[in-house]
Parts: sequence; structure tokens; C-alpha cells
Amino acid sequence: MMRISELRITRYGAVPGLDLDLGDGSGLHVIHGPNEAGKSTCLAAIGDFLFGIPARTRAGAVFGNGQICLGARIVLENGQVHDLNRYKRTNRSLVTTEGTAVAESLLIPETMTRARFAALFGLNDETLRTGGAELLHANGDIGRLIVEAGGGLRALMVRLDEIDAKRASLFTLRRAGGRAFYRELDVFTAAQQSLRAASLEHDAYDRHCRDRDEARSRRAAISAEQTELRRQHSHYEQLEKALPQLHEIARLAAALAAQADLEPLPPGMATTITTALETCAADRARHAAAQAQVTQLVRQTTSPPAEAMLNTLHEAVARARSLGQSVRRNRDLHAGHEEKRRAMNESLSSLRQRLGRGADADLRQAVPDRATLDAIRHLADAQADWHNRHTGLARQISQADMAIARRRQRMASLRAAGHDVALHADSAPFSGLVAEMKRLEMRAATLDRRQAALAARLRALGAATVEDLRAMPCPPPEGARMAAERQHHLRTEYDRLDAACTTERARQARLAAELARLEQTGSPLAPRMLDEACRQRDAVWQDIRAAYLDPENPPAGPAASTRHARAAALDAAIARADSLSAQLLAQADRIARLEGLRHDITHCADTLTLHERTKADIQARMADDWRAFIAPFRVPAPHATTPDALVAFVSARTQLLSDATQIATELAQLAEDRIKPDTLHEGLRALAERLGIAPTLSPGPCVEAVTTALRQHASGHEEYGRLHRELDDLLPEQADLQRQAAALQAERQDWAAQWATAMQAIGLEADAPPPAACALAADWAAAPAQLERLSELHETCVQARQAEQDLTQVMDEIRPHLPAPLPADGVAAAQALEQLWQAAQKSQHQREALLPTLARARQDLAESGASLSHAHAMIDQLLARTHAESPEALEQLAGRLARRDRLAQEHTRALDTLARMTGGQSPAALERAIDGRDLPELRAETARMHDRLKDLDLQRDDAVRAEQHEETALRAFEHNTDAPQAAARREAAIASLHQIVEEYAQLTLARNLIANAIDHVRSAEQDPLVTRAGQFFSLATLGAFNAIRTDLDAQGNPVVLGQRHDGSHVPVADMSAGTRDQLFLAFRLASVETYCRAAEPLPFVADDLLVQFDDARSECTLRVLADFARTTQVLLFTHHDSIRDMARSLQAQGVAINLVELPRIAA
Amino acid sequence: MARMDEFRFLHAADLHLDSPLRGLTEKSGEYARLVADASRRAFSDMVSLAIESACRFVVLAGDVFDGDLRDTQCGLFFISGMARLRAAGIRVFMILGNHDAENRFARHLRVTDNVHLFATTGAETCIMEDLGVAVHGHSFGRRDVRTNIARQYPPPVAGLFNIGILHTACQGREGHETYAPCTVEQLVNHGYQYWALGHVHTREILHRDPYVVYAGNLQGRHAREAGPKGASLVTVRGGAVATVEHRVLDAVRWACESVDLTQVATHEEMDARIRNVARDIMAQAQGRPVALRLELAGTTSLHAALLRDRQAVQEEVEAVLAGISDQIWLERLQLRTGAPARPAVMDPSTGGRIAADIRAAATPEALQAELDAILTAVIERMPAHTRREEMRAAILHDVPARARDLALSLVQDPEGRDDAHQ
Repeated sequence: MMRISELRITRYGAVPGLDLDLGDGSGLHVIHGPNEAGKSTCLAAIGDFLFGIPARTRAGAVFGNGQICLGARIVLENGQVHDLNRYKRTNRSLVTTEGTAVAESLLIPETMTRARFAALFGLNDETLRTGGAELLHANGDIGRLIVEAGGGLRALMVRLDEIDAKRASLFTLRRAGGRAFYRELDVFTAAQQSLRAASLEHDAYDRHCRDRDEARSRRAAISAEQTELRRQHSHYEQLEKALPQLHEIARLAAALAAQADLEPLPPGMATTITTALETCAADRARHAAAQAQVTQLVRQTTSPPAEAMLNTLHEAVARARSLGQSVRRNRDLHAGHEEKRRAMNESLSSLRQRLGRGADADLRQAVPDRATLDAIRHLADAQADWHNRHTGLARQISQADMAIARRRQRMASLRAAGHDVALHADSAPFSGLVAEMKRLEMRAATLDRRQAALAARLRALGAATVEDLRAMPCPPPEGARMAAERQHHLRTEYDRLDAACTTERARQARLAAELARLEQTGSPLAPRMLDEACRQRDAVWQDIRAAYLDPENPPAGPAASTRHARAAALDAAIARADSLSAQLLAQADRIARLEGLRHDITHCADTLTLHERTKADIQARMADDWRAFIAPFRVPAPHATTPDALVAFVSARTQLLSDATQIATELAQLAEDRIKPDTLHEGLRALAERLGIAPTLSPGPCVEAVTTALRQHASGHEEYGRLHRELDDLLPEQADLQRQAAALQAERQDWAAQWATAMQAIGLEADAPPPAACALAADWAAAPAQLERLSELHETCVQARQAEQDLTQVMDEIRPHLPAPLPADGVAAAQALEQLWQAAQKSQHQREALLPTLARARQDLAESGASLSHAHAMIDQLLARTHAESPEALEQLAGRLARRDRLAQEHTRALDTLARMTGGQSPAALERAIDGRDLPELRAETARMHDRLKDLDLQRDDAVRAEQHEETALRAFEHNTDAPQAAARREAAIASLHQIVEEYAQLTLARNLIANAIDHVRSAEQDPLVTRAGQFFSLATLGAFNAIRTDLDAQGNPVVLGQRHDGSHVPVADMSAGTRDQLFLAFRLASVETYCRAAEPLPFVADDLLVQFDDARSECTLRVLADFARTTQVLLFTHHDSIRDMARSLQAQGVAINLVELPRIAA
Repeated sequence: MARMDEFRFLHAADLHLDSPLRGLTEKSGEYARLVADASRRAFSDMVSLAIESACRFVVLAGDVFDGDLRDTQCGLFFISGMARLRAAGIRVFMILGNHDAENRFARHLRVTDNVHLFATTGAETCIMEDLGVAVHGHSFGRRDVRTNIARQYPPPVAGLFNIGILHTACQGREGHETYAPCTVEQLVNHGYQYWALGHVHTREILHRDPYVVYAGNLQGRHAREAGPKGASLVTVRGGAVATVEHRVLDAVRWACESVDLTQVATHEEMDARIRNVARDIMAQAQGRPVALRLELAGTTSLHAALLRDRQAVQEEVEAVLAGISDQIWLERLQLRTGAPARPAVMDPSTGGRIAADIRAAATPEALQAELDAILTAVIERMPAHTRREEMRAAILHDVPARARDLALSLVQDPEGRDDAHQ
């Protein structure tokens, strides 16, 4: 067994140095350390020591990789001891303390990797919990348990699950769309279909070529027909348009022939005449308008006399306007200036008063300099700031003194009450004590009551004690029950017979009564009476018959009366015979019933006799059976008389004995449960005595008083501590405040010296108060500007008065020359003069603007006169040429000439239009072509051609489209790669399918190999492993389970079961989580043990394994680990104090545990 | 008529127009389009080459089309190429190969008048007086021509440059169907100056003076047809072959390379080696898209990791390739690596026992039998067209060892890293 007897960690992780002494290395080592004690570092260091320090370790982050040294003294199975060091190096990292390199195989077998070591020899709480949960998930599958728990190969099972998931995603026998295989199949099928659809068959290609050629020839034929038809259509359209035009030309020619007398006058003569007449009229109107305009403009450009006078006074008026504006402005500003002067004098008056000067004294000579005024303001501000600080400091000193005094006083009172000393006690454990004791007392009282009831029941059963009752010979409950059932069966049979007897007796009585009734109701009718009646009937009939059939007598027969008498006699005889016959039949029936009743009565009597005899037999058997059954027992007489009493007795006895056992158990449990509260109660009394509380108090008040006292003491102690800390803080603060007060005082003295100097500069006493000094300084600061402004205002006032005098003088000079009087006030007169002047100026400007217009009007007048003369001469010439007598006759002639010219133009234009319409054809040729047809006939022909053309257009479009379609299709075929694209997709799908098949085959084969191997290993290891794991499991569960068994589940898979002492089996699903964890641990330990028997044992490292277990389970597990530690060294790291205490307790009980305490690492 | 003293012609064969490129999974629509019309683009480039290099005629030595192709559009595309040659005044002499013979539309092509298709009934000769060239050819009438039809070729025309166009599995060219077999010696002794052969897809000059040349196919169709593909540009001067140049014309290049990972311990090293190989391939491809079949081989400690997450490895390799060029596509990644040998030491742990059991159980016979059963269940659900015997053979050859190594890797290191065990 390789074990570590000492571990030395140097400059590794955050640990500067740590030695772990593990004695001789064997056994269970519980390594306890608080958080930050280096527990995790130790765990990592063990792995790094055994397997080397990884290249990318963080263990050198603090001290550097080169500083790491992990040392250990190891003891091998053969007893050799090696002291080795591990450094972080690529080569020769494991050396002896002398520096000699050592082979890695000295520590670890070659087959053992770090991962496998961690999986097999390492275990932590999380792995344990996960393993337990997985065990539940797998329903206790043995193979999985051996692999996961035993082999530490949980990850392998995860990998197998992943492989299964991957395989399922690739392929399953059942088709599903989500499988990659079937997806690719779908892609393949789609591509195959696309390929077929995109491929062009040869026949299809030929068909396209044929269709294209047909469409092409059809298009050519239609085009030819269209050309010819369009030509004809165009010709008919010309004729259609030419026909109205020909009619118009004929009409115009006739109208021209009617104007033949105007032929000597040339075309355009009408325009010449009209123009000359219009020109003459226009010149006449223009000349008259020019004369009127000249007259009006001459009137508008002449000036009035008043305005001419003002122009002569031009300079005086301008001076008066200027002075008037100046004086008006001065008057507007006068009030404001006065107000300002008054305000400034008021502000300066306070300064004059302070300095003792008169109201109009000149202060300009006494103004102090600016620097002095600023210094005074600063000193005043400094004084205010000093005062504030001084006041605040004084308040702080006072508060600090008071706080210190208050705390000292309170601490003294707390010391007097003893609260200065800590009392390490907690009332929490006592919180439930009273309730617990109350519950225990109630449980005890209940048990007492149940015991009293038990004694009463005991007496009722005839026993003095429970032991007597238990020792009393008594049939077992089942025997009593069976005996009672037998008796009950016989009793039931007896009762049934008794009931049958009663029924038979009742029937017998009923039958007898019936018999008696029938016997009494019978009539004395005999058969011979019927015979007699029949004979009488026959005799009467013979008489009638004889008389009816007698040959001797005539058909008339006897007399009617005789016949009536005989017939009546026959009817009576027949009726009597019938009545007797019926009565005789009823009589026979009654007799038969009487016989039946007598037979039934006899049968009832026989039955009754039989039943009575059977009842007697049953009674005898019941008595014999009971005597034989009850004879061996000593059941008290009252309880042994009847089976029911016996069953009740036996049941009551069993129940009573069970109750007695339960009461005894509960009493023992009660005594055990009382131990802890009693201990606590003792502790409570001791604590009460220490707190000065009478220990004789009952638990309730005592707990309450102790809790209150503890709370008060804790509160007082906490307050004491807090006051102490506050006092420690306050004293330095007080000293600091006093230092600040002294500094303030010195600062005050400096200020006083500067202040005296400044006051002297502004003429105040040295002790003048700062506010007054500041106010004076402020006044002085504002005074120069105000003095300057006062001077300016005075100057302005003098200038205003001078302007008033000048204005009055100028206005006096102007007034005599004006036609209208002006106001007396100079300013008002100047304003009136201003208005007069402005009006005169405006009129003058308007007149000057009209002068050019007047000149142009005179020029127009001359020109229009000349034009009018020329127009009159032209009219005279036209009158002479046309021989007209007057201008009016001339105007009428012009109208006729104009109409003649319009007709000639229209005729020419019509001929020209016809030529353009018909391509230059002459009207005669057109007439021949029309050949006497009218317009509707021509239009009908044109419409027919138009329709045919439209039809041909459509046919041609179809042909062109068909040809283009086929051409496009054929061109597209040449460059269409749809089919190759589809083929490529199909090939890609095949390639993907092959990859999928390959991957699926590989995964399936690998998975089958692993699964088969796991089955083989399970078969080989199952029995010894399960047996050994069962032993660990039994120990871990404190005997709740005594072994592990295997069985097949519903699916036929081998699973594990826990076996209890009574032989019952518990499946994994019914185990608690903690039990499953222990089962997982048991298999791990059994597996490691198996490994250690076959190879070099290595240390088993458990990290806080018991963190989820309760105390009982933790203790059991510690015992299991101690037992397992006989196989190999076990290192259990924990930071839980309870585990440490438990280990100590087990040590005291003789369990081999080495407890190692880790010191806290210094920061 | 004065004959030309010098002229050029182009010898091409096995165009296999519209034959899909096999084995490429569809990575994107763009890629699919790229590979789908690779054979067409190679053909177009061939036509352009003939025009640009002023060839006087082109000889096509069979298998212009694929056998099972029913798409006449392919024929139209071919005709449009012939029309381009016609516009440039270039004649074409072509024979039908075994694939053309089984093609439904090849023999019904209405080719342009610059194309001469040799008869299937027997060898015939075309003479170009202006060049002084006699071209002899014989088309396949059916797919399985097993006779030596080279014997039927006419004797050379005296005074002319004689070219024989023949679709043949010439002796020594194993791996191809033995159609129209013949020997090099026979061809050499026939008296022609140039034998333009087709059928074998690897370019090879079997003999010089006279020249017996396999031009190889225009465009590789799968990973086994790797390397540059194209046509032979022949220059004839003074009635004799002056030069035979191979001109690369393939539109998509196939490459099949192995990367040795021996002593490689990290993915970074592996990636670096793959990167180097891929760069070389891309340089050789001269800007063409490349479909790469990459084999990782050698003894490496990465073996287990490569096996365990094949998808991740595939993505890693694709990322490396993508970093080099967006024109390189991983056709398939083959893992032929092995794990470093371990000392045969008994491991008594559960994992060790399971591993030992796997080693004992994984005999080649047992693995083959089980794998065969697995494959049978899967393959019977595949349509007949998708079943390829080569796939089954490859799986039966490769998968057993990989599955065994994968199983061992999972058992020995379930987490896939050294410090992950719980």
C-alpha cells in the first residue's frame, strides 16, 4: 500500500508553507481546517505531487512557478520509505530530497492517469449526490452502478447516452423526419424528381423545333396578306375623305362666278380701303385728346402766392424748426434730470452726514483710494467668517464635553451592574425546553393513564399482572377463531333446522284447517242420483220420439197441448240430468283435494320428526366439540363458556399484551428523551444562579427570567462596548477641537491689527464695528460716479435755457411775414411753421414732376395734326380710283371685295387639301375611282377591310409569340443547367447519406463494443462486488439494511435491491436520497478495495464527503471509512466542526482515526 | 493547293458533359451551382482554347456525354460549342465512346456542318487537303465493344499526316473497362503519326514518334480523378508532331492529400500542417475552386480526440481551409490516424477491465460481422440508386478500427481531458 506519511507544501498557491503530519500514513485521516486554511490547496497539492504540476497551473500565481515545492514522505507496500520532492519542471520534476531524479512509476502505476485516479480514488459531496441521483434514474441498474459508482466512470455513461442521442439523430429503423438519414433521403428524392422534370427528352426537342418552324411560316403568310390589305384600305380611306371635299369645291366655284363684276379690282383692294378709313378715324380722335391734355397740365404746374412767400424766408424758417425741436427735447428730459439730481444728492447726503459735512459740500477732495475700500470689505468678511467658525467650534467643544461626560457616567453605571464583562451564554437552547418538558410530562401522564386502563382491562380478563396473562394457557387467536367458526357453523345449521321445523308446523296447521273446512262443506250427492235423472230424461225422449216417428199416427200427431207437455217434461229432465252431472264433477274434485291435504299433513309430520332428531344431534356435537377444544386451556370460566366470549377474550388479551409492550417501549423512549431536557434544565439552573435568579423557580419562569437577564446583559454589554469605543473616538476629537480654538484666537489678534489701520484710512475709530465700516466703505465706493453725474446734469440745464431764448427771438422775426397767425409759445409756433413748410415743399415737388409730361403733350398735339392731314389725302385718292361718291360708299365696296377674296381663297385651299389627301390625284381621277358610290358605301367597304386587318394582326401576334416562345425555349435549352444542378444536388444527397451511414455504423459499433464489455465485466464482478458493497452498506446504514441483493426488473435488466433484516427487499426507487448516496459510496469503496487487491493501493481522498448527511449518517459513514482505511490510506478533508467533533468522539471510542488540524493561513 | 507547313490541333477526350461531380455534400447553393456545370465550363474553355490558339481542327476521342444522361439540353449545349468553332473556321472530328453509345440522344445529334462524326459501322477516313491531314476514326456502336477495333483502322494515307482517333482501354491501363482493347505496340506499328486516344481519364503519353496520347478527361468527376485535367494541344510542323502540350481546362479541381500528424500533440500543430498542405494545393489550382479529400494520418496523441468529435474536427479543418481561401471545399475528411502505443500493463480498475474486454472482443472477424449486420439494416432502407458497393467496402474497411479505437478512448478517458474525472 502506498501511503503518504507527511505532506510538505512550500510556496504553492496562497500557502507559503504547510506541513501535514499523517503519522505512519495508514488508517483514516480526518483533516479539518476552517475556510481559507488551505484545504483545497492540500487537495490540489496531493494530485500535483502524485502526477506532476501541470504546465498551465495557477499554483504559482503568488510566489511564482519556480518557487513551488511539494514534498512528501511516502511509505510503500514493501515498507520502503521515500522522501521526495516535486517541482514544476518539464523533466525530472520528481526528485529525492538529495536531488536525485526518481521514476514516476515509484509513486503511481503506469496505467493510472491523473483522471482515473481522480475518478476512482477521489470522491466529493457533489459526486456522491449526483451518483445517488443517477442511481435512482437508472433504477438501480447493476451495470451502471458498477461502472459509475465502482469504476468512477459516470462520464462514460454520459458519453454513451450522447452516442445514443447522436445515433438516434442520424438513423432509426422507424422512419422519422427528424433523422438525418431520412432528411437526406427526402433531398435525394426531390433532386431525382427535379432532374427528371428538368431533363429535355429528344422528342420534346424535336417538337419545339417543329412548332417554331410552323409558327414562322404562318407569320410570313399573314404578313403578306396584311401588306396588300393595308394598301387597299388606305386607298378606300382616301376616297372616303375625298368625296366631301369634291362636293365643297363645286360649291365654291359657283359662288365665285356670281361676283364677276368686281373682277377689275385686284385681290386685297378691300383691305386697302378698310385700312385707309380706319386710319383717318383714329387720327382724328388722337388729335382731340392731345389738345385736352395740354390744357389740363398747364393749369396744374402754376404755383400759389403763400408758398412763394415761404420760399423767400427759407433760412429763418430752417433755424426756427431746428430750435423748436431742440427746445421740445429739453423740455421732455427736464423732469428726469431733476429726479436723478435729487436721488444722487440724497445718496450722498448720508456720506456727508457721517463725515459731518454740509448738504452741498464738495466731497471729491475727500474720496479714499480703492485699495483701502477693498481691504475693509475683505477684513469685514474675514471677521464674519471667523465669528462663524468660532461659534461652531465652541458649540462642538461643548457637545464633545457633554458627550464624554454622559458616556463616562453611563459606563460607570454599567460597570456597577457587571455589564462590562462578557457572559458567554445563549438562551436559545432553552427556548424549547419548557415546551419540551411539558410535552414529556404530557407523554408521561398519557402513559400513566394508558397503564391504569391497561390494569383495568387486565382485571377484566381475570389476570393479576401482564406476565400472568402472558403466561396463561390460551388458545391462539386463529385457533379460537376457527373453533368459534366451527361452533358458529353448527349453530347456524341448528338454527336453520329450527326455522324449518317452525315453518313445517305452521304449514301442517294450515293444511289441517283446510281439510276441516273441505270436510264440512261437502253435499250428500251420490252417482245413482245422476243415473236416475238420466233414465227419466231418456224415458221422456222415447215418448216423444215414438210419437214423432210412429207410422200409425198421422203427421199431425197428438194434440198441441200434449206436445207442449212432453217438450216441457223433456227440458226439465235434461236440465236436471245436467245439473246433477255438474254437481257430481265438483264432488269428485273436492274429494281429490281432501286426499291431497291428508297426504301433505302426513308429510309435514314426518319432516318435523326428522328435523327434531337432527337438531338433537347437532346440539350434542356442539357440546362435545367445545368441551374437547376448551379442555387444554385455563381460560377463566366466564370467558370460556361461549366461542364468542373466548374470541373476545383472546383478542382482548392479544391487544392488551401489544399495548403493554408499546407502553413499555414508550416509557423507555420517554426516559431516553428526558435525558437531553434534564441536562438542559441543569444548565439552566446553573445559569440562573450565575445571573442571580433563584434556581428554585419552575422551568417556565426560570427560562423566561434567564432569557430576559441574558438579553439585558447582552444589551448592557453591547452598550458598554459601544460606549467604550465611542469614548475612545471622542477624546482625540475633543483635543483636536481645543487646538482649533487656540488657532482661531491667534487669527483674531492678527485681524484686529489690520482693522485698526484700515479704519484710520476712512476716518473711523480703530474699534469701529465692521458692519458700519463696510457701509461707509460702500458709500465711498459709489460716491465718485455720482459726483461726476451731478456735474453733467447742471451743464445740460444751462444749455436748455439758452435754446428757449433763441427760439423766441427767431419766431418773432418770422410772424409778420406770414398770412396766418402762429401760437404764442415758441415750441407750438415752431411746430405750426414746420407743418406749413412741409405742405409747401410737397406741392412744389408735385408741380416739378408734371413739367416733362406737359412737354410730351405739346409734342403729341403737333404730331396728331400732321397725321390727320395725311389720312384725309389718302381717302381722297381711293374715292377717285373706285369712283365712289362718299366714304360710306367706299366702305360698302370694301365689304364686297373682302367676301370675293375669301371665296377665292377657300376654293384654292380645298383643291390643295384634296391633292394632299389623295397623293396628288386630280378631282377627275377621283371621280372615276369613286364611280358613283356614295359615302356610306365607301365606309362599309373600309370597315370590312379594317376588321380583316385586325383579325390578321391578332393572328400574326399569335404566330410571333409562338415563334418567340419556341425560340426562347430552344435558346434556353442550350444554356439551361437545371438538370445538372439537380444532378449535383442528387449526388450531394448521396454523399451525405454515405457520410451518415458511416458515422452511424461507427457509433453503433463502438457503442455495442462498450455495452457488451460492460455486461461482461458486470457478470464477472457482480457477485463479489455486491457482497462487499453490501457489507459497507450495512455498516453505513447502521444495520437498517444487512445486504445488497440483485434481481431482474420488469424489463429483465439486473438491478440491485437493499435487503432488510426481515428478508424484505427495498428497490432503489424506494430508498431515501441519503440511503442511495450510501449505496453509491458502498459500491465505490468495494470497487476501490477490489482494485487495491489487484494493484498498488493508493490514498483515497474524500473532500467534504459528509456535508449533506445528518449526524447519525455522518457517524456511520466515518465508521465505514475507518473500516475501509484498513485497505488503503483514507484522507478526509472537512471544514465542518461537527465532523471534527464526531471524529474526536469516535477516537475516544477506540476507532482508529487520525485527526489533523490545519492552521489558518496568515494573510 | 499549297499545304500549310505548320498547324495546330486540339486533342480532347472524355468530356462527360453534365456528369455530376460525386462525393461533394451540398455546402451551399452557390457551391452546388459551381460544381454542377463544371464539365460545361471546362468544355467552353476548351472551345475558347481552340479558337485562341488558332487550331485548325479539334479531335474528340469519345465519351462526350455520360451514359445514363437523358437530357437533350446537354446535346444542345455541345452543339452551341461546335457552332462557336464553326464560326472560327475550326473543324471537329469526333467518335462515340462507350458512354456515348449508350446515351439515348448522342447519335441523333444534329451537329453543325464543321463536325464530322465517324460511323459506328466501321473505321473511315477524312482527308483535309489544305492541311495534308488524314483523320481516321471508328465510333462505338454499342457500349461493350470488346474487340480490338484498332485493327480495322485503314492504313495510313501516304504523304499525309495521319491521325487515328480511338476510344480504347490500351493494355496496361488497368482500372478501366476493357473496351476496344489494343496494345501500344500495335498502334505504334500502324503507321499513323498521331494516335488520339480516349477512355482513360489520366493524361499519359504512351509513346513518342509516333505519338500515342491519352489526353485525359476535361474535368475530374470525383476524388479519384484528382489533379489538373484538360486537353492536349498538338503542333504539327513539316508533317511531324513538333510539340504536345497539356493545357489545363478543368473548372473545379479535385485534390486528394494526406497530412501526416506523427508527433503532433496539439490542434494548433495539426492546423498548421493542414494549412501548409492546403496552401500548396491552392497554389497548384491557380485560382480554381478545389474539392479536397483530406486524409489525416500518422501516430498522434490527438487520435482519440479526433475520433471522438469528428464533427468538431471536420469544422476545425473547414475553418482552417476557409482561412486560406473561399474556393477550397472539404470533400471528405478521412481519419487514418493511430494512437501511440501503450505498454501492455494490466489495469485492474473497472475501466481497465472494460477496455481489456473490448480489446479481446474486437477481433476483425467479429467486428466485420457485426458491422455487416448494422449496414444491412441501414442500406436496405436506401434507394437502389444511392447504394454503392464502394461505400459499403469503404465502411467495412475503415470503420471497425475506428469504432474500436473510439470505444477504447471513451472508456479510458470518458471526459476527453486528463483532469475531468469525477
